[in-house]
Amino acid sequence: MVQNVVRFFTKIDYLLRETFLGLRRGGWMNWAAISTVAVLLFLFGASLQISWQLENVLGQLGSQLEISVYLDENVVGESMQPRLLLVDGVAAAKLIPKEDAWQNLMKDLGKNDLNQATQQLGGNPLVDEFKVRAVSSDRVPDVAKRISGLKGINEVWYTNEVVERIGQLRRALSNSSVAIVAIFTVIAIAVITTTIRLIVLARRREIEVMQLVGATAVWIYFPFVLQGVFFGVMGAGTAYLMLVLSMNLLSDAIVNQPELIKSLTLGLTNDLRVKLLLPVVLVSFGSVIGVLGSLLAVRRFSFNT
Amino acid sequence: MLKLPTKQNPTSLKSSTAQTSDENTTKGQKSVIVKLENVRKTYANGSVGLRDVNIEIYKGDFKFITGHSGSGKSTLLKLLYGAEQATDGDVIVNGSNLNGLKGNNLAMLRRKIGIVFQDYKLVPRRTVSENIAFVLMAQGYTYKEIQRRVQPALKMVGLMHKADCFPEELSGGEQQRTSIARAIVNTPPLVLADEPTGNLDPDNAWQVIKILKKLNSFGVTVLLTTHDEQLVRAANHPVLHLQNGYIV
Repeated sequence: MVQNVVRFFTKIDYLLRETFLGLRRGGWMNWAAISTVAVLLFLFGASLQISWQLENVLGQLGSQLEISVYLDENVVGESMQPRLLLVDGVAAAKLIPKEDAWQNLMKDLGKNDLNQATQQLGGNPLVDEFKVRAVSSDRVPDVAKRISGLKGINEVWYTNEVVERIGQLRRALSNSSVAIVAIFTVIAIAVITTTIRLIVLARRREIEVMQLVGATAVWIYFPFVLQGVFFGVMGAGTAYLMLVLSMNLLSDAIVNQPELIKSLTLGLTNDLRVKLLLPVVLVSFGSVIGVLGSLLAVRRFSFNT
Repeated sequence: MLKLPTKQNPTSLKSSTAQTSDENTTKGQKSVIVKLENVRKTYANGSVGLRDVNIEIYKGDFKFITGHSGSGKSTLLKLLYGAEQATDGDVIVNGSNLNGLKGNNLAMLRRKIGIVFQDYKLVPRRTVSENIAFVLMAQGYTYKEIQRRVQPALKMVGLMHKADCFPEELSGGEQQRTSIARAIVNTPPLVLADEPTGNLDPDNAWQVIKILKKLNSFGVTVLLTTHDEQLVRAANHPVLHLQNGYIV
């Protein structure tokens, strides 16, 4: 039992040593492979982050996006509430009676004497208002349309354009980033394959001897696959560092920007997704590319045994 | 978890190998370790390496295989360790038929054969002991076992004082002796040597032959190819002469 454990660790030790030996033989090509993977994963990570950022922005806008529903003059707010809630896609409907609205308006305008203002205008000119919250930002236009069809509704307001634009941006970004990521993935795999092939060629003497003394194909070529994984993981690490650096730089830049841009970015997303999910995704993707590239490289050789 | 080879199952030769057990049982005499039956080898470009060769080598034999360049000596040896496949006929080594043997099965067979080459085939960036230990590491032995076996191998070839030298620091004779040590370190029953003295001067050549004779005295079967007639005469062992692909 102990013997087996010792044997196992000897094998692991041997495999790791062979892997590092191969890496040392790689020379500058190692850096070529790692940097290609790093660029790919940086682009991939950046597009992921932007997409998450946009999602957050949409989410925030969405929650601030309410449909403001203005009732007809003689319609009482309470009677409309149940009918509004029945509309498909409405999450909530909050009534703001015209008295409250009037008070708030006065406050905003800085007028302290409510009664005087009311007298001047000949009564409260405002109508009852509902702040309706839709289920999701996508459905806002739809919901608004339905509500405006109801009897007793005078006007329906919502900021649709921003939502639509952001949605379009997100889709375009998604498509173009998929294309760019796909191209770079192919490039990264090609670079890794070439690097591993060169290392195999550089070590062909040793490999030939190993084949002649009875080493199995797995034993000979597994270290090369590990080298591929190494490239992938190092590339991922580099990419993550670059992403974190750029995020920090961006945050510093944004702090000094006008309010609009600030509110658009609403503080760069630095939640759990970025801290945990992003590195995990990057490392996994990097490893997969590494394995694929190195398997492609050694397949040709190992089948010739 | 990948299944890595261990020392414990070296004989996992699958059913694809023909177990010619009746040929291997001793009938009061030595058993056959190498058998070639009606073997023919034609290369892809049409040239014929071997024609209708029938050979039986018994355990403990020491045989020279002689012939001019192009007579088929190297081809014969390559067939025995699986570097080439016979076009026709059966090649049986240590009980396994080499027809179609490849991959892990071939690797397992090669663990039972020690091979010495004319160009030594040493790994340049490793020391003498590392080159010898290479064989054992490639088969998954532990470091302790490796140490245990490398020392006697070094002693046998007289290179204990050069254990930490690199191949480029050794003479031709010393490199060949290292190569022999590597071939024997896991005590194979069969040693094949393809022109082992080809690049050596007469003194070194004789030293190599002496080591191989010593091995043979321990029961190892030795097959040597050479075109050095003088050496063959001096060594005084049975000879198989190849001419144009035939045994004469």
